[in-house]
Amino acid sequence: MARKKILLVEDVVPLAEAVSDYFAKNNFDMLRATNGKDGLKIALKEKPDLILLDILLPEMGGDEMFKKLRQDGWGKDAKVIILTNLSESKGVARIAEYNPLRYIVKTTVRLDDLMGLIKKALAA
Amino acid sequence: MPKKKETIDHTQDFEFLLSSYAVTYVTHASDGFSSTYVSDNIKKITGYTPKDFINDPKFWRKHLHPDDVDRVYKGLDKLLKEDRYSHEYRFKCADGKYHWLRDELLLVRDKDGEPKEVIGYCVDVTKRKELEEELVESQKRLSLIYNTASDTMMLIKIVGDGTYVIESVNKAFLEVTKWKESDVAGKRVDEVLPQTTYETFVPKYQKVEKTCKPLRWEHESVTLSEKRYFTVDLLPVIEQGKCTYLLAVSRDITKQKEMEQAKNEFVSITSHELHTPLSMVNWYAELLLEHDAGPLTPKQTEYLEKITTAGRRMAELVEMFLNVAQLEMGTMPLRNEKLNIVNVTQDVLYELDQDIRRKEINVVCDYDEAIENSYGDKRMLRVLLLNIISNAIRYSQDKDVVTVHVKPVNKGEKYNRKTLKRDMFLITVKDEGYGIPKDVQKKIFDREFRAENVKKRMIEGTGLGLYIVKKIIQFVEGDVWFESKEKKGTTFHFTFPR
Repeated sequence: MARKKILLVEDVVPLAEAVSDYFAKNNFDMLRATNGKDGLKIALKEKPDLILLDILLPEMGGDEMFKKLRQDGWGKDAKVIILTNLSESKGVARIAEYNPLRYIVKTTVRLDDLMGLIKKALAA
Repeated sequence: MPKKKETIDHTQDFEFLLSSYAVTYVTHASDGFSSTYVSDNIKKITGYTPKDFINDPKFWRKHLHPDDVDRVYKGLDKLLKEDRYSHEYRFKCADGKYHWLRDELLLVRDKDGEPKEVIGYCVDVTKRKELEEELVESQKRLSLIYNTASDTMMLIKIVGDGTYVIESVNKAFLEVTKWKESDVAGKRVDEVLPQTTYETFVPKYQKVEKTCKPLRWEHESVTLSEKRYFTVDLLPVIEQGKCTYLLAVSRDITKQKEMEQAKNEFVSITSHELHTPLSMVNWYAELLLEHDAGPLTPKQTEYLEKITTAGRRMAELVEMFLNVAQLEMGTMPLRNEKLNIVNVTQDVLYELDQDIRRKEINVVCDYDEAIENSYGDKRMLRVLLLNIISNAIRYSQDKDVVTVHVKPVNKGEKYNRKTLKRDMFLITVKDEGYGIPKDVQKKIFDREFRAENVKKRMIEGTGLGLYIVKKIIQFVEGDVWFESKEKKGTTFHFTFPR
């Protein structure tokens, strides 16, 4: 099986590092962005197999990036999982329209579970 | 010799009158109305004898209550003009106390039409007067309570045909609304209340009128300058088994609401701020456990496992606090998104996997056909399932079975003695655990309630789970109920819109 490419858009660097270290070790190619603007640029250029997207981000929020992504020919069908915090209810409500595969709450998910969910999503 | 004119002796006929409580008497129509005849039973009422009245022309006058003298004599002047009169006055009796007497008077005129004498009878009406005074007093007291209460009150008369008329309002009502009494009293409720308020209130009036049971609700009043919150109690006034009036008592709870809001905002912000550092602790501990930073000794592994367990527990708590705060603030907007209940349930079980494996619980899922695609709020459903299933697991013993059954139910069907207003999912979660003691079953949805039988077993819990469940159920307009027997287990049912 070819190595899968995952784009992680997360502004808190230590969190991003934990996730990408874990996934890299488990044979994923990890791409990283710390804001929505960069995230969108990388996504459209690299066309990752899956995007892990936070909502509260500097420069361009996750919801805005998601919206723009869905306007793109490739991006309209891209697999996106929201990895965020529950309390960001404002953005979350809007994001439902863009049809993400899942919402995952950072605090309650283990890296191991996160990987399980992502493998499932990639297989689908 | 002329035959002696036969006279009929009426003494016997009048005896019953003379011995009754009504004192009969005759007085002059002048000379200060001094008495010429007073029946013996005057003694019973006043303690004085007829002689006392007859011998002293001023006796009666001297014993009148000073405050009543003027009124009484004015009344007697009237008698001289109108021939008939009655009045009530206080009379000082032999025991030194004033009694209330009532006189009925008839003026007798001589052949020239001049007032000659007065015939009257008198009864003691002290008892009745006291009762009347008491009534007046108690009415005064009631009105004092009505008008000094800080809650606003409105007494509504049920006229019938769905018409409600404002009988009266209290002072607080006028102060709060800045209306005048004349703007309100006697008017129909719909002429006075703003239309939107009236429309929300009238079904409640009808309900209380019909059921004769009080109702309480919270009301938000929005004006240009401010938003205020009230609780409204609507109480039926029942006369001869029928609701004739409604008393609406409302209390301003804006301050309380604002404080709650401030508290919830604080909790919400704090919980949010805790998310990032908590994720860091959890994920880095997990990385260490995965030997990402080199091999671990058994002791190091054990300690790290403790850290991750505590971290997970803390994450659960933070999520719960946040849920409560958001539900209470009403900042958890209801979403309508594509929802696959099987997936949501599976995700929840995935989240609970560690606990399920640790206790070796056998979770059996049973989904009825054709339930995959529907619309609803995934997040609400997730929180409901998470709380109810995690309770089932938490309060089960090792190796127990927990069954989750999901089936679609339809509008019009009856569950928990209520008819469904729309299509729903019926979710049933059954465990074989400790059960809920009968005496506390009513309290389980209260905030921070935990039963003694599980506290003793040192099972951790916040007492917030079912409170959150109840709140969400109210929010999505579903229903939740349960059956439970101690040591046999608990079965929770809930309905969720689909």
